[in-house]
Formats: sequence, C-alpha cells, structure tokens
Amino acid sequence: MKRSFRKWLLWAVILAGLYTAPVIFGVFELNLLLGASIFALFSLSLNLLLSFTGLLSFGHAMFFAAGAYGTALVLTRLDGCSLLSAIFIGAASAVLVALVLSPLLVRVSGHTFAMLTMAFSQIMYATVMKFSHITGGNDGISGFSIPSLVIPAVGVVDMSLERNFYYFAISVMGLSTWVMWFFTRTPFGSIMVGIRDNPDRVTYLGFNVPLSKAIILGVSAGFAGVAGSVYALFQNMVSVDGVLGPLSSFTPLINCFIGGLGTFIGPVFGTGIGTILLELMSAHPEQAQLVFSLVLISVVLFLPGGAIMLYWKMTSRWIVLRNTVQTVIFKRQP
Amino acid sequence: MKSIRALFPSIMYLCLLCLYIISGLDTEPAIAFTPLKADFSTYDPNKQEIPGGDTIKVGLLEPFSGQSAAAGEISNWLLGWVVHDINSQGGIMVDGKMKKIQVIKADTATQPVVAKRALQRLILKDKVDLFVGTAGSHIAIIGNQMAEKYQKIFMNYSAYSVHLMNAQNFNRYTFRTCSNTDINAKALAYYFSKTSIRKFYILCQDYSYGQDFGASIKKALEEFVPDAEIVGEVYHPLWLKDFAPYLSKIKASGAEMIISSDWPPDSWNLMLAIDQMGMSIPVSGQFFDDPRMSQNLKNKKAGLGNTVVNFHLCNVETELNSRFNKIFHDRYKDNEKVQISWPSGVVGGVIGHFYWLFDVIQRAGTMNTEKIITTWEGDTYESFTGKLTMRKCDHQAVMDMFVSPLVSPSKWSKTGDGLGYQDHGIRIPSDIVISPCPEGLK
Amino acid sequence: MDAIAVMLITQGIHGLAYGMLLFLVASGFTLIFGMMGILNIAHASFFMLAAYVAFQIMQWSGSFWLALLLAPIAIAGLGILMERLMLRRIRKFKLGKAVVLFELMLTVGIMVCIEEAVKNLWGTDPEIVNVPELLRGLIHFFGMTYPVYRIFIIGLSCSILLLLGMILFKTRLGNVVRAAVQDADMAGALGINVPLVFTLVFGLGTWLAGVAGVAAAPMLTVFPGLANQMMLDSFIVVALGGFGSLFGAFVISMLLGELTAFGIQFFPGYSTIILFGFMALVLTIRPSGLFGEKE
Repeated sequence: MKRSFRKWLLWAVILAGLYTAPVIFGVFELNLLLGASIFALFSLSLNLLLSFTGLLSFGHAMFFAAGAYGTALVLTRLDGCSLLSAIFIGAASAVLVALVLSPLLVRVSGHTFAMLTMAFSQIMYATVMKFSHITGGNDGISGFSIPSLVIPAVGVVDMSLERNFYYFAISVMGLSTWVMWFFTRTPFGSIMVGIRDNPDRVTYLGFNVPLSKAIILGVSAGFAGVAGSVYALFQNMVSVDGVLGPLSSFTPLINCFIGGLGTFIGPVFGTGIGTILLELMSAHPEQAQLVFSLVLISVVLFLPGGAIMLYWKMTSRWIVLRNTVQTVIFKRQP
Repeated sequence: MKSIRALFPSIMYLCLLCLYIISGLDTEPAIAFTPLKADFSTYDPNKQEIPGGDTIKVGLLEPFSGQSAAAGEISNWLLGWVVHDINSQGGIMVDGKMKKIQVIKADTATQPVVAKRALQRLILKDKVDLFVGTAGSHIAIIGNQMAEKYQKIFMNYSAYSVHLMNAQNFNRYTFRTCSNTDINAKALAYYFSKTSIRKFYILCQDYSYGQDFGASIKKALEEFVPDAEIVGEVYHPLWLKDFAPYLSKIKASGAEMIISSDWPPDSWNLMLAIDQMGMSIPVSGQFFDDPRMSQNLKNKKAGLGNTVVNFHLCNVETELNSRFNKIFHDRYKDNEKVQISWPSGVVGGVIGHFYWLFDVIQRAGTMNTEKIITTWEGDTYESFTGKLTMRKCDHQAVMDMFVSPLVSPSKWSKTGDGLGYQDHGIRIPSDIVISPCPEGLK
Repeated sequence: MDAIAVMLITQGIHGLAYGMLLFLVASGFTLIFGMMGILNIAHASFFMLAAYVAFQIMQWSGSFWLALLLAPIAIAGLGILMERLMLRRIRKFKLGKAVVLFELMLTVGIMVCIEEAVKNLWGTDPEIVNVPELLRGLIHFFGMTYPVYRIFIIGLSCSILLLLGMILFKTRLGNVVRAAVQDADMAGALGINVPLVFTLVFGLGTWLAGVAGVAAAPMLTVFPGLANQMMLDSFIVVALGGFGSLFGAFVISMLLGELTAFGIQFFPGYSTIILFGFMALVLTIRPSGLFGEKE
C-alpha cells in the first residue's frame, strides 16, 4: 500500500517536472531535455531487442533513419500533410524496413545478427548517399516547417512555438514509452524473454520463434522510427551523418549499457547520464568523447549492471546503514 | 541690463558649442581602428586573452574535431589575428561605448546535426551578437537557416557552393565574403583560355560543393574555352584514403590537367598520391598551394604547374598587400611550427574579410542587426588586393580573382627555393568572373 | 602495350596492395574471433594506432625501419594488456550468454577511446610519413611504371603470410594454436594452457594489425579516420571468408582489394552497396561464411 503510494508520488513528481520544465528553463535547456528524451526513446526501443530478446543490433540507426527520412520526405514532398500522419508515416517506414529485412534477420542471432544489421545499415548509408537527388545526400533534408496540430473540437496548436512543440513531443515520447512497457508485460513479453534464455524451449511450447522475432523486430523498429520522426521534426532537418553516421548505432547501445542491462528503464538513465556528461564537458569538446568512452569501459569492467545496479547497491547500503543507526543509537530492533 | 539678459542664451549656446567641440576633439581620434597597427610579434592564436566586461561576442562556427579540424584551427588563427589587432587598439565604438571583441568557438565536427546544436548553444546560451563560418557547404546551409531564424548576422567566408545564396537559400542575414564555385570556375577557365592546355579531367568530392564545382567548371569551360575536351569526370567520397586507383584511371585518360575542388585532407592525399605514383599531371583548384603539403613532395615534377585560383593571393603586389605580406612574413618566417610563412591560400583573403566585417560594424556604430545589414549592403571596402563590394541582391561579395601557377624555385616558398607561386599573380577583373544576380533575387 | 592494358594491370596491382594490407588486418581479426569468440571491434583501431606510433618513432629517430620493428611490438603489448586486464576480467563475471554482449561493448569502448586518444595526442591534422629513401621511386617493367613502395607492401605481406603459415602448420606451437581455435575446451582438457595460448594469439593478431598500420602509414597518410574504412572492410572479409578461416580471409581480402580498385574504374560509388549486399546474402544463406567450417 505504502509502496504503491510512493510509486504514484514519484510519477506525479516526474510528470509535474516535465510539465513545468518550460516555465523553469530557457529554450536552450528545453532543447537539451527534448533531445535527450528522443534518444532515450531510441535507446529504449533498442533495449527491447537487447535486454528482452538478447539480440545485439549494430545497425539500429537504420530504423531511426527510416523514421526521420520518412517524415522529412513526406513533409517536403506532400503539401498539407498533418502532423500525426507525418509521424505515423515515419514509424510505418521504419516498420516496413524491418519487415523487409526480417526474413533474413530472424534466422540468425549472436554475432551474425550484429554483423548483418551492421551490413544493412551500411547499405542504407550508401544508398542514401547515392540517391542524393531524393535524400539530399550529405546536405540532408532541411527547412521544412512543422505542421500545426489540429485537435478536433479543441482547436489548432501552433507547433512553431518551442513550448508547444515540447509538450507535444514529450507526450509522444511518454505515450510510446508506456506502450513499450505495457508490451513487455503482456504474455508476448514473456515469450521475448523465453527466446532470449532458451529458444528451443519456446519452440517446444508451440510458439513460432522466427515469427515472434519478426514481430519484436517490427515493434522495436516502429518505436525507433517514432523517435527518428520526432527527431526530424525537432531538428527541422535530417542529415546522413546525424542519423546513420559511424557512431549513431553505437550511441543507443552505449546508453543501454551505462544505464543498466536487463531492466526496462535503464536506457533512460543511461541517456540522462550521457547528456549530462557531454553538457559538463561542453567547454572541452575535444575530450568529451574520450571521457565518455572511458566511462563506458569502466562500466563494462567494474559495474556490469550499469547505473541502475549502482543505485540498488547504494540504496541497499543506505538501508543497512539506516538499520545500523537505528539499532545502535536508538536501541531499536530493525 | 536688458540687452545682457538677451545675450545670455546666445552665450550659453556658444559655451555649449565650445564644450561640444572640445569633447569631440578629445574622443574623435580614438574611435576608428586601423588595420595592421598592432604589434603582432606576440600574437599567438592559442593564447588569446579573453576580454572582460561588455564585449562584442563573435561566434566562430568551425570544425575543431573530426577530419577537417585543421580548417577550424586556421580560421581561429586568422580571426584571432584581426581580433588581436583591434582589441589592442582599444576595440570598436558601438552604441556609444568602446567594446572589445570576444571570440566564442563552436565545434561543428563537419556534421550538420552537431553544427546545429553548437549554433543553438552559441545563440541561445552564449548569446553571441553575430557568427562567422564555416568549412563545408552542408554546414553553411545550417548557418543560413539559423541566421534567419534567430535574426543574427552570419558571415560566410569559406563555403563556396553557389546554391547557398540562390533564391531558395538566400536570406537577409547571411553575407558571403568569399567567392563561389561559379566565380572560381570562371576565373580558372578564363586563365586556361590564355594557355594551350585543352584536355581536362574533373575530380571532385561527392557532396554538394564538389558537385556544384563540377557543374560550374563544365559551364565555364564551355563559355571561355570552347575547344576544351573534358576527358573524364569522377566524384570520390569525402576523406578518401587511397587515390591511386583514381590516378591510374586519370593517367589512362590522357588528361593534361586535373581540375579538382578538393580541400584538406583530400587535397593533401591527392598530391601525395601523385607524388608517389611518379606522375606529372598538374592539378588546378583552390587548395593545391598548401605549403604544409608541398614540403613533403619528393618527386621534382609533382606539384609543378599546379594552378591555384583564389580571391586573394600573396603574390599580388599592391601597396597594402606588400605591407601585410611583410608583417606576416616577419612574424612567421623563423617559426618552426608554422609552415605558412607567407599569407598563402585563403589566409590573406580571410584576414581581409574579417577586417571588412569589423569595419562595417564600426561604421554602423551599433550592434543593431538591421543597421549593420543596411550598412553592409552595397558597401565597398579597400582590402589587401583590391576592392570588395557586397552585392545587394544576393549578398555575394564581388571582387577581382587571382590565378597563379606554381613554380620551383619560388621566392614565395618558406625556404625561398621550394615549390611556390610564380613571382606575380594574374589578376582577373571582377566583371569577367561575376555572374548576374540569381533568378528571383533583386 | 596500349594504355588500356597498362591501366588494367596497374589497377590490378593497386588492388593487390590494398588487399594485402587488408589481409594483414583481417587475419588477426579472424584468428582472434575463431579462437576466443570475440569480435574485436577495436582491431582496426590498433591498425591506426600503429600508424601513429610509427609516425612518432620516425619523428624521434628518423628511421622507418626502426618504426617497422618497434611499433607493431608496442601495439602487440597493448593488445596483450587489453586481453589480460580487460577481456579476461569480463569472463570472470560468469554472465552466461550475455558475456558476448559485454565483450563487444568493451571493444566498442576501446575503439572510441583509441580514436579520441589519438586525436588528443596528435591532433586531427593529417600526419605525413615519408617513404624511406630505399623504397622511393618507381619500378619500370613492360613499359609501365609503378611505385616501389607499393610493391614492397605486397612483398612484406607475402613474407609475413608465409611465416604465419609456417608457424601455424609446421610447428608444435601452431598445432596447439590450431587445436585451441578448433575446440578450446577439449584443448584445455588435454593439458594445454589455453589462457596462455589466448594471450599469445591476441598478441599475434594485434601485431599483424600493427605491421599493416606501419606499412600503410606512408601510403595513406595518418589521420584519425584511418580506422573506419579498415574496420568495415575487415568486417566484410571476416564475415564472408568465414569466422576463423585464414584461407577464406585471404581469398576475400584479395577479391575486395581488386573490387575496390576496379570499382573505381568502372562503377564508382556502387562498390559499397555491392559489397555489403553480398555480405548480407552470404550471411543469411551460410552464416558461417564462404570458407568457414563451424558455426
């Protein structure tokens, strides 16, 4: 009872914090927060594959890119496209990419899966560069305007205002995160974990492993697509280096590891830590990535559970400490 | 008595007038800065003092990490030169106050997304008054957009793609002080029309600037050298590692001259590969005169005949340019670390453009963006190698262009007997190379 | 000979030179993977680091030959340290299947770390390494000219390849290593000190990458992006050639080198798509690669 109350209180505080952020912060900090939350969603979608299904993808950026390019292209080529349909098209194109590739991807796992996803993201990179009359090549696509959000019976919300866009984007992120969380709690979520731990047993239980993998891949790609789509709107541009560059598939992976593998919410912490770290290092941009990589190496070597594990360790220590204090000083039984 | 009282206002007026003149005499000479007045023997770009108090904040948008970080370091050196000069003369008089200039660096890593984030930081957090940049046309276009969005002046001194200032991408806040791919191509083609070289090979980087230059040079050759033969055309990825297969292809084509838009490190690697392959086909373009590269060439024939086109060359003898050359050479001739002992390449030109920018601000007398725009539009400024005019219709600077082949020995090399410019650069007047205003702009 | 034939032959030799360099990098990569099951993403970074170390040694001593001797040894030392202090530590966590993920991420971290460290130590300017006096100039044969240095690269790689083959197939040490590559557990049960062999192979692999790095330095110039292309190419080689197969790595390296050279000649811009498309195809049809034996 008390525990669930505290949980609700925590959620209320987080929601209130997100809601009041535009009032407290300036545009710059707001953009930072929004950028971090987009990458948090991207990392969460990767985590669905990584922590729950045990598949390591080295090319998750291709789904993010598909979402971003889908939205950007539909907004530049199609007049009068509404905001929600632009995001939907972004997510749909990411799912489409996943479905096209899934017959090849679901058959493999482990290293082969990693290499294969990397190969596909490289093919996508080369294709985007080659068809520069559509994708803009190195220049990317930029300068499209964000359409206003039309809510029936309420009115029109102008998205060119930073604050309005912030509320919109953060709600999309929050909703997507909740849907993903819900997805892991469904019976299908248990199949995911089953595939990770023992795919043979899942087959014996009568489930179709390749089909399940394809569905998981589609869902994960879809949310990566949503993240990419909102990213394109937020940045008002897509560029090939930004969404498909050498490190863009590794960044969400690093976030997952720093945050804590094997948990749902870990990547969010990882992204937060990464953002804060880069922000702190902004005076020395030359060393920022170096420090970041050292953090990653030390997390892998000394703290395999990531930030979440650190938190648990600290809280358990705190409980031990509190109990000791209570017993020693107040002579009370714990 | 009454008459004295009648005189009183006029006496007051006279007194005020005297006061005004005296005060004017007092401050007038300190207002304007003079280029090249400071002592440069102590200037070090890595040890610039950061002025305190109320300053003019200038954002420097350049790559300071990644493959083309060298471009950022050079820009910092050149902007620092001008800032050092002006600050040691007390600064610029704006809005009734003498203000010093403060440079704030922003790293683009030559990636549009990083550049956008860096620019947001510059404008929203560091609150710069204006910003300058940048290497890479795909980065400059972000600069254009952000300048328009936040209504800040953006001076572009090193992105050459002609499409950056066309009707679609033009905005009132962006000024381009360098030439563009069209101007460079025309100057080069005009020069070739006076020579006997007729077989050309086009080798450019596979992105907007390289493609723009390829299109421009084909158009320009058609216009000035109708009997020219383009024996091949290839676009290679940015930051290529091995040019040898490309060079074998070029060699087989029988080209007499390679025309390339490459910039470092690609231009360096191209020259080194030519050197190692023992080839003697010269390369023409804007960045094939870099002393840091030519000192490493081992083959006597490599680099000879390389033809450089630029909006400034140090071997153009004007009174001001000779003075600037001397000051620059005195500072760097004995410096082991700096290979650029004469203001070669874009060095001199960009320094001149920065002087122009601050001169415009000084004459506007305010940091008000609108006032600076109206002052700069149509403005003419006497720079090192001649007049610079800011064309009002598309904010493209109009200037004479210069072409020079490389010879050896050259008095313009660091040692005095290495590869370098010929003695005197060739001036190509601006009316030959400039294109009319782009369609849709006036 | 006519210009076309000369051009075709020179392109062929260009391809051979790059293919040989690639093989030096990829052979270490594939040996380490075949034996320890570790996909060392930082492998190409060792290649780049070697080029920088060679540059530094040449700055100090001026001798290319000293650099060729010392830099690979220094890199091998670093590799051994990485294996002993880091990879071995992860294996102790008893993470089960997830150990693969952690090893991969560790190598990703090391890759980023090496690249950033190089930028901080040497700056981002391209550093130019001069070709040694002895190997400067051109060879003239059948009416065409070719730079001596590239021929040297081919010769050097061939002799290392021969040496490697001799060690692996003719000595007892080679038998031990091949046994450990085949089945590490069984080799351990037979009394072979498998951890020591692991360290040895890791050192050997990074040494090979180091040699390739020093050899490549005068040809490609030394800059922080040197590792990226090499990493992708050696990935293709290992995936296509089969994980752990030296012969496969050799064949694919040569093919890739030639495809790059002739791709520029005949279809510039498309070779990446072709290569990665082929890699994806092979991986799905035959996950163990064209020449690989075990999954």
